[in-house]
Amino acid sequence: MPGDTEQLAVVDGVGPGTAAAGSGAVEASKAHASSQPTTQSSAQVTKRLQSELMALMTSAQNDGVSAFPDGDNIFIWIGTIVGGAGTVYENLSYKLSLKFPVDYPFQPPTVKFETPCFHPNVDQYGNICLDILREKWSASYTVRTILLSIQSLLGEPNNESPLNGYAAHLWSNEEEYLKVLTKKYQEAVGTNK
Amino acid sequence: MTAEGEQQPDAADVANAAAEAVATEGDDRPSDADIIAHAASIRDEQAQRPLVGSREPLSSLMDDFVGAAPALVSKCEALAKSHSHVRRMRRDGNCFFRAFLFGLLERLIGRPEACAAAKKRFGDYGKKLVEAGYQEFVFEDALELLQECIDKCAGAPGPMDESSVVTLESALCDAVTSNHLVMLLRMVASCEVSRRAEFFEPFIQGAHDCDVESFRRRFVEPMDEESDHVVMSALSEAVCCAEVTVEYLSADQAAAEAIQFKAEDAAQLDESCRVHMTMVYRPGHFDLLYPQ
Repeated sequence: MPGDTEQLAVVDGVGPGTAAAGSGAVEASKAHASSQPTTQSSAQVTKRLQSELMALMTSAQNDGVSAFPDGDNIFIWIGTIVGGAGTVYENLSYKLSLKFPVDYPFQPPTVKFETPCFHPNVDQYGNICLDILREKWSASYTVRTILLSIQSLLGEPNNESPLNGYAAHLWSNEEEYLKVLTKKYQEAVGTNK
Repeated sequence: MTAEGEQQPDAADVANAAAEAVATEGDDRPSDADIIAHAASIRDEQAQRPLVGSREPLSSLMDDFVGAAPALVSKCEALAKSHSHVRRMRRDGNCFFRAFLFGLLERLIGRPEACAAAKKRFGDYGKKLVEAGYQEFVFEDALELLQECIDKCAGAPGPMDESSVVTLESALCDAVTSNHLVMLLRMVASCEVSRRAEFFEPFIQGAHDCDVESFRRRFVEPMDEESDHVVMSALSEAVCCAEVTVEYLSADQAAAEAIQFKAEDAAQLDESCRVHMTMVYRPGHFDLLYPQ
């Protein structure tokens, strides 16, 4: 990676483009890491996450996904996914949390929908059933590719193993699905914001 | 699959849990819970073992099969005519990659010319990974680590220098180092599968009933996934200087069958830059073999 990522170590949790100078984030994330069994240096994990952040911020692609560390802890991020065009989720915007383990990227982050999401593969707590976040995880995934995978899951659910049976059952009836989805979404953003 | 799983509770050393489940299928197929528990017990037992074992006399391999698989004992005897030692890899699904890694680096020890060629090859492959859409930061640390390992090999006083082998053993027994390098080789193999998608596609469809992309995503890149011919062939092509001979031990054939994996353009490389290694395979597992 060209250049120095140090300046991106610091985040203030306000949002992209508002990162200010300082050194709090690195120390905070190290403190977080040292409280758990460490298999690789937390500096390495921090470096990786900083690279991911830089890549996300410099890729000005308008693909409906974004993410940024939540507050000054680089091990916890908040992501946003906007449903893909041409799917029932088009224009719906969901917030997700990504929690990175100290052995990231050997273990996947824990990713959950924070905005309640009506979907066959998402349960009522926001847990997501997606193989790449579990047994098919690989270190070649990045925050961006994770969010893109979830975005494509929205439009192409795996109805064979649903976490939300009702949503899976309804999926084949697009009109009805859209009606329930819209109602649930309005409830969700209404109560959440 | 082999039949010995039926008679032998210690079959964990002969076949992995999945193979055993197939072997016992029929009258009293174990329940899913039993299979999961058995797999977990193998995993726990394996976690006690080093990622890369030390060199052992070939007779230790034979000991695995005595009583459990008489057919394999005679195959081992045949192997013993041309091979003297075995080096065991942990049975964690990464054994092919780890054996490849260790075999490659061990054979680069004390061969500066071969080291330079290997280093350049991997460096060039980094560019191919980027071209294929991998973000540089997902592999750059691992690539740097590998280059450092190769540099250490280059600085050794001579081929197979004993203290350098010991250093390499401890480096590849360190989980962080070892798994970083395995992860890199998995990306390299996956990228090569993608570069030669047209060639590999029929094999992938035949064996896994899925497309190339989903094969890479489900079976090549994730850690702990076992390797098949496609992966072995892709990795040898990608690394080019490494030629792998695999001796197959299976109970249903008369003699151990050897298969070679060698890059198409390996012939263009000078012999001084080439590396030959041999592995022994029995259902579900690879170890390194040493010729006499």
